[in-house]
Amino acid sequence: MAQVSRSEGFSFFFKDKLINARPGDSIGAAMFRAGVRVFTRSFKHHRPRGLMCVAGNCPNCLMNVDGVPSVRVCTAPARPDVRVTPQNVFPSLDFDVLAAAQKFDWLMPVGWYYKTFTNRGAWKTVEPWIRKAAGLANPPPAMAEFTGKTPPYEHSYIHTDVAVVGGGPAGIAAALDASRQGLRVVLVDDQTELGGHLRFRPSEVERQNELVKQAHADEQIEVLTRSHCFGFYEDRLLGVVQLPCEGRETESVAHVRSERLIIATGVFEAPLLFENNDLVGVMLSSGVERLIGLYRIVPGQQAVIVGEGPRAARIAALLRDTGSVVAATVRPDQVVSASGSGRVDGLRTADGRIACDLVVVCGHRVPNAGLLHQAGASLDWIDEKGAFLPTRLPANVEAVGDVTGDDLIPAVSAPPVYPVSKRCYTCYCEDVTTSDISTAIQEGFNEIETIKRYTTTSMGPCQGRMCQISAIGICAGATGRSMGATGVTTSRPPNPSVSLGALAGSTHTPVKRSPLHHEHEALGAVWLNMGEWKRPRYYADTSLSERECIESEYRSVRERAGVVDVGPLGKIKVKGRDAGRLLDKVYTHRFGTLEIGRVRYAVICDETGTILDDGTISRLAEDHYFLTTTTGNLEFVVQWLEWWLIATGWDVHITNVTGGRSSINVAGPKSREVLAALTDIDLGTEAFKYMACRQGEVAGVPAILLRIGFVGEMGWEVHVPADYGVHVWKGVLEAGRPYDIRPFGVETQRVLRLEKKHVIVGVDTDALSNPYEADMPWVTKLDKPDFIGKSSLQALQEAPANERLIGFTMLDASRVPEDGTSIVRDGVPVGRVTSARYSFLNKTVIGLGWVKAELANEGQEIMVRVGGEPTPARVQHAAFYDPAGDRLRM
Amino acid sequence: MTMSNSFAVQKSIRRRSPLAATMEALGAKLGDEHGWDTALSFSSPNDEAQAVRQSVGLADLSQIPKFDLRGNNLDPSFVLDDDAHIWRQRNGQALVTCTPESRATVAAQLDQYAAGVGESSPVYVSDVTPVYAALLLAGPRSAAVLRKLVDLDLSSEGLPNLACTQTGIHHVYTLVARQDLPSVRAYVLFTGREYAEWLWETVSHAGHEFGMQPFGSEAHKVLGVA
Repeated sequence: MAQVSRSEGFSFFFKDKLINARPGDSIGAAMFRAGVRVFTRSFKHHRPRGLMCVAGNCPNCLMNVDGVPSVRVCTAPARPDVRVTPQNVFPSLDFDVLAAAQKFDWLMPVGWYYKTFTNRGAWKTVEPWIRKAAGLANPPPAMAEFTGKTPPYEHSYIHTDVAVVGGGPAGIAAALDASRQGLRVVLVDDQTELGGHLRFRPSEVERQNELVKQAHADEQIEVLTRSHCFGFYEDRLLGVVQLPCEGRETESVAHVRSERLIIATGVFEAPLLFENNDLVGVMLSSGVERLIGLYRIVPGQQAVIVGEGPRAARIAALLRDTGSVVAATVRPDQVVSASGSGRVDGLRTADGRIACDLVVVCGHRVPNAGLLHQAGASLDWIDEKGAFLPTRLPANVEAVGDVTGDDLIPAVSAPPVYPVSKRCYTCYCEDVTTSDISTAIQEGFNEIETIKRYTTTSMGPCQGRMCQISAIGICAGATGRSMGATGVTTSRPPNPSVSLGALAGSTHTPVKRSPLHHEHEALGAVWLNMGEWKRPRYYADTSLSERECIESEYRSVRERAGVVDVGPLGKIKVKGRDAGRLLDKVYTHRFGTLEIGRVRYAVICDETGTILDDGTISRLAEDHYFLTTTTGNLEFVVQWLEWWLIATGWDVHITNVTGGRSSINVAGPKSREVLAALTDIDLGTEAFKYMACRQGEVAGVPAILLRIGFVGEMGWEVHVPADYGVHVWKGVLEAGRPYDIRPFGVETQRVLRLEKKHVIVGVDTDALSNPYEADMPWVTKLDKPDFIGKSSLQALQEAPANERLIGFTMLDASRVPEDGTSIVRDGVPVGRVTSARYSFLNKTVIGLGWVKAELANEGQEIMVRVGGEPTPARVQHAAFYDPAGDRLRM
Repeated sequence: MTMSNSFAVQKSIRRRSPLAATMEALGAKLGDEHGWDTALSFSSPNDEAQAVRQSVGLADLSQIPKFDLRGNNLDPSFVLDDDAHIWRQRNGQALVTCTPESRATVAAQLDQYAAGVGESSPVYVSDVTPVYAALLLAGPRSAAVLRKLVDLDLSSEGLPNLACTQTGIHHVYTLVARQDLPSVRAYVLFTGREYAEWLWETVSHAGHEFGMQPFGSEAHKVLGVA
């Protein structure tokens, strides 16, 4: 038996004490070997608790390891230099003042949340103290933004023919058998090594070694150890969490999909009911086997075994082999109570008290059938086995080994005989006693599901493993039902629990970058996240304030020339014989008759006439249109176009070319001169009119030019293949140098467009906005054939407006309302501001907003909340800058 | 219908991959290949190739020519020369890739195909080289890296060589094309150019546990692709 290597060990810290460990030790085993017996304090009564199952099932060893709370140290591999501290104690494990709660348990009967402190004043007084005392641990410290190479959490997706859950002998045999049939296999086991119970049975080591060797050598079998299968989902999808261990730094969730699922999860052992059954030193027989077999640790000097038959005999022999004295073997029905203050010092039976420092309980052997239950199998009680066994398995799901209950013998009669006592624990996690459950049943909670919810039994970290069988037995006995008629509670994932970080996975939030991203970086861009896009908000100059930088950019556009990266604009190519037909169907204006070489503002409405998106549509050829959309709605517009194309049979093909184009807008009174240096295209007023498009070359690169003017100045939107984007950007900056051209960012663009009262869909419009109330009736052509939204728009055109989108100027130029603030009348909201900014043009504060129609008259005074205070503003419908649009048409 | 977007660009203007800045930051030796600023190597091409053969490596393949082929009745039997491949995404849409050397030939073949179909069911060809970034993930551990990113059956039955499938990496649209190199398994990941740097970083993190390193075009040639 050589589960633990005797080679050089290492050490770690428990509080400030150094603990020596051997390779292969769990943290708990090393601590136990060093003499630690109390590992935690129970949830409500703060009773000292020690190792019991040594299998990761019970809550008795939950500790904080390197800041991570609630780690089951009985199975967590020991690592050099880790720091282990207790949790749920005040001030210490050895002396916990909250253990006084036991003296006040009369204040905390079952369901005490609903019974005690019902007086409102009393509850207000005690609530803060209860909150401080409640809970099991503190959350880990906030994780700093991940900057390393290996993320702490990951996901993976494994597709296989056969998934086997459980790496004991039955599971390994099933995996090898499937492999021999030529199938791919994934074998999942929650321990650090395969073998199951063979790992800690001395007589089985050779068999274990042979099986494990075969499994690892088989190339068809992928072995996942230290991996818990926490859930069965639709179509045999398994959720498996792989915990960090040697060779694996991350906590990873594997999505395992298979054609066939084999469950070989064996059995776990659950405690029996007697008074003080939770004392330190009361251990499950399998826990004792693990301590001895895996770690060569002698759990006690003087033992009493509670059990009978071959299992008790085997444990007795094992203990004697270690040098322990087996003082007695006692039948479960003869036990009265364990005795001791915190730690066990004896066992009282019907025949008297037996001194001991270890009570070994041959507990219930419960098939670990939760996954099968989640898969849709039934769990039926079988008297001869003393267990709920899986039956009626769904197709392609099998069970093998101990989980089927083949070799089970009942530990005690069922329903069991038990003391109704405040110190006989059913649920170790929540400190629920047999007294609590009996009281609950008397109060009318006499179904296992309501007992669970009222008493909280099986709702703690063990998720029912330790307590459910006993709770069912108590319920059956008290109500006169059979165990089978009482039934089990519903098994739900995740079981065992999974950290939220692991479920979330790696934090690779998608980021979109323009082809000019690094140029902006070099120019001092201050970044803005717009959805997934990174865009320059403005360009910083360390000698200027933010406002001064923005004003400088603003003036370059209004007075000379500026250039902005509009790469994030959605860009779609629509080609085909029926392209115009589709656009006429989806957009509110006419596009089938748009001349080649012209651009038109384009709005999409839904069936109710609500504005969904806007942009431009340019006709490049008879069957070729170039669309732009708002940045955030690109994917939606592509889907919308595809949706309305379905089943038409039309010859239309839609291609998202957003990332493939580098797009810039050169704007300002000198923009013509700047571009003229880079292109042979005639940019003259007549040759290239406002709202026209051309194809040609700019800086030697093929380009599409649109003469449009979002910012209210003469300007061109230049679209080139993204691979040449940097070249063209640099060309424009170079050509613009004589005019002191400046790059400008999103914030400057927002001020400029606001002065023109140009709407941003999704900012200045919302889910109720239609073109009429948004002051753009001209975008709808109701005389064209049916299109999406036509009938609603016809009705809206004739109906009186409820609200209107207006422009406004604040009467006090020092008060800038926040976007979204209310417009009020007599203190009652009558509208909202959508956009507001300081305008460098007239040194005023301007904005757009929605108000009730009766307040939307030109010159009307309205009150806008600024800093909570109603502040006067005046309605203006005309643009604040160049209302006639002369500068656009220069 | 003939291919739009065909153009002749001044040879002095070099094209820049969406991963150019990433390659520079990783210390790539850059050079001109077919008009592109290309990452030629990071260390020794032979060492890079060996690292790929032993485990896994990642390269920028964004400069390969790509064409978008659309038509309501694309001929499933239409094939191109060996240097090109048609990745059929769905009915009516395919992505065609080829080597830079064969670009002109493939473009001509596509034009000829498009010109030869009837008016009743036209075919459209567009150069979408700049629209997509392409990452080459190669090596015996390439599937192990990829399965941390995509929920796909990556076995030889699930995704055989020269097959492709559309999926999402963290919900970002990605076309996964299996295109083995002569000695090792390999995948080309196509995604929108705007996601290129993000995808490189995401794949790099996934490959870290396997010691994944970048490799350049010279190592790519050593690995057996012209």
